[in-house]
Amino acid sequence: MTTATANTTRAPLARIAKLDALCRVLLVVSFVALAVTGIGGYYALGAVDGYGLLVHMAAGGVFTVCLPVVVLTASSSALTRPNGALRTLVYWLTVLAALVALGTITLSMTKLFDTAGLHDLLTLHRWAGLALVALSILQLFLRVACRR
Amino acid sequence: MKKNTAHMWMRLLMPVAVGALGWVVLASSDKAEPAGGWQPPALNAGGEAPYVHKINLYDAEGVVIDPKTSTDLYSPRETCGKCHDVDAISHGWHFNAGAPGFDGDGRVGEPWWWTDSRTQTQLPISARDWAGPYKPADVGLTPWQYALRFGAFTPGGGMGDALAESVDDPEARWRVSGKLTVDCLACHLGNRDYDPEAWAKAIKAQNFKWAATAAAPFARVKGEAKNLPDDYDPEFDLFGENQDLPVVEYVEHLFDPAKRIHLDIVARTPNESCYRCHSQQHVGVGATAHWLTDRDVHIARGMNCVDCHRHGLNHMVSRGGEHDPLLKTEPGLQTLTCDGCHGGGGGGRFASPKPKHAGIPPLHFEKMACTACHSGPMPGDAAVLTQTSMAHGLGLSSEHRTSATMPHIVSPLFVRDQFGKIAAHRGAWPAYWGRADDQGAITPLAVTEVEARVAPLLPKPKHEDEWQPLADDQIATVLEALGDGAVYVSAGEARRLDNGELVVVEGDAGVSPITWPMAHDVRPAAQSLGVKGCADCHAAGAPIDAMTAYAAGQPQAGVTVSTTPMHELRGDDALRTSLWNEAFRGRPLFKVIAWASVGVVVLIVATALMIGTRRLLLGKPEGRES
Repeated sequence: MTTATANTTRAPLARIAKLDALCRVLLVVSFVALAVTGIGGYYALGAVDGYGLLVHMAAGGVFTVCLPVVVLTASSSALTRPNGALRTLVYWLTVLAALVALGTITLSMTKLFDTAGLHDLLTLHRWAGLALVALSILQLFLRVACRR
Repeated sequence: MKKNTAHMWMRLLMPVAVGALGWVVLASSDKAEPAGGWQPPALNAGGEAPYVHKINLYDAEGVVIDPKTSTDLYSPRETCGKCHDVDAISHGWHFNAGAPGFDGDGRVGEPWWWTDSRTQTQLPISARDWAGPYKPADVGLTPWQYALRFGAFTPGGGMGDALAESVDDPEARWRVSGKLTVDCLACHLGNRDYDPEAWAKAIKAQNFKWAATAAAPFARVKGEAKNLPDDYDPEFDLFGENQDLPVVEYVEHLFDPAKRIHLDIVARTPNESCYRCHSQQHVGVGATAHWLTDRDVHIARGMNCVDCHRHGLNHMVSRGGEHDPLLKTEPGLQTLTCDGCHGGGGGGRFASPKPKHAGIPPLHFEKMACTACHSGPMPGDAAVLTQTSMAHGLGLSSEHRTSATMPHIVSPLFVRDQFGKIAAHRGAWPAYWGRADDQGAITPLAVTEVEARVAPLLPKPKHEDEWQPLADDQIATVLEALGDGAVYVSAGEARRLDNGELVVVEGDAGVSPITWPMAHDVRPAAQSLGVKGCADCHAAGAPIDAMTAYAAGQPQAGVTVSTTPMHELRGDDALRTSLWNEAFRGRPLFKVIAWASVGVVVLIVATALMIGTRRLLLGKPEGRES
């Protein structure tokens, strides 16, 4: 009886864990796509355009869906299992950069801002995106360094 | 000794004398330098109120016209030139097409169209160095033919004047017709008394030198120079005895005893003067009846064309574009472009509203001109047939027009301008007889050759000036007669004879539509594209991508009219366009997800912040030491 109860409790948890894993994979893939099309397009071609912009938009959609799921699970572990001050700080800065990157583009889809405001939002989006890339690399480095 | 002393003094004083002389020369040259900034031209009244032009008229010899006795023509050059620098004026935009040494042809504009319904020819012509239209000489058009054909919608000058005898043309009758000189009153008579119909009729009658007098309100011209023999020489007809020689009669009561006349001359050309040559109307299927359409929003708000399209004495009229070459020499004109006045260019002139363009990504303004969303007729499923003054003689009662009248110009076309931005354009597919070389390059036949060799092989059209597509056998007959390499271009393709069969020539050189940007009529913000949201353009079937354009000159009567969608005209990737538009279908849902996502992350960050703050203030909970 006890085993049966435990199984029924574990099943949804396992599904959530699978969903979390899937979201993490999709988040990483979409993030790489966003970084390549965003930074590559902007610095190589002067603007994110054409198929690059289409990929950026599609990846943005996936990123938007996966971000809250991953932040939810990762933050709970970050809060309950502290990994040192630097790693924690970098983690929250990464979340903040992702929030600004997502928030600026979401705000730009409203009619709250005029052209100058939209220019500012876009600039903020670019810097937040760039910061997100830098912080993600730093986080990866710290994770690898800590394992060693 | 005295000689040596004198020599010594000379040696000492010479440099001083030379220096003093140099100073005097430099000082006097400084005085001769004009002071910086704008200088009023000579004989400028300078007041805000118009100068009352109660003036004498002068003939070509500079003699005052006596309305009672004079039979000489009034000369705009001599009359207006008393106070105004006509030479400087006559190099302005309206007169300088094809002028030698002039290399600033500016952005592409509307070409002239050589049309002939019998041979089903509509050929774009321009003396300017623009991509697309053919130069007059390329199609065998001499300045004489050019002036005769297109002069009615010019204010004189250029091909009919300075360039008149630049080409050896045995057909030309300049000696009989005189030159088509610049007619200042065409634009500057403010009271609508100028008669453009008389000007057009005078040109048709080869009364070139009589045209300005005929169109003016103070004289009448009778007779047609085209009836004069080719060998007529005015120098041997000193008393004008030839019965066919046009005669001038001045309207005496308009002059005062001092032989002066009051002319309502204005510097600020009235809109009606501009509209004589720059009118447009939309006709045929899909066109809104003219009486139901509005004028340009600027005109509706009381502005004049010349409020933005300004010029100095040189009459180089500002064209209002952001790439106007005049901006290099007159940076202040920047504030009279669309963006300069309405946007962030420091303009804000005439109380112009500054659009917010709220929620429209700035990328749009990098890729599109203002006109794409704000100009021309409201786009629908298909571009509409458009008639213009220059192409269809709008404004002249003598012109018989139907919606089938050639040339078949359509608008709006959303294609890229020469600077790479998507802008509203007018355009038309050329139709002409020509020859293709081995590489597929097509050269139009000279218009005289078409008239001589093609026209006799084709039936006289039922309706003059109308488009009546040729049947395949008619095209084949003509191509056979024209011989090797002959092609007929129409409907966006060139066809040649191959073993008696009509086949399409590979390549698109010489067959593509000729397009030119249009800015007017400007629609108000409430009628612009995008005002109803992104789906105005980013949706399957949206005009900016999917609106079709009819290629004039379908090769065969009865064949289904083929049309080209805008994205294809622009050369855009069809898959990308389709994907892009499809992506916008999910945009409303994406907005909801994005807001939810932002909300969740904000909540998590806020919670973490609270927990972190609590830990900082109260310390770590027991048993949770790391």
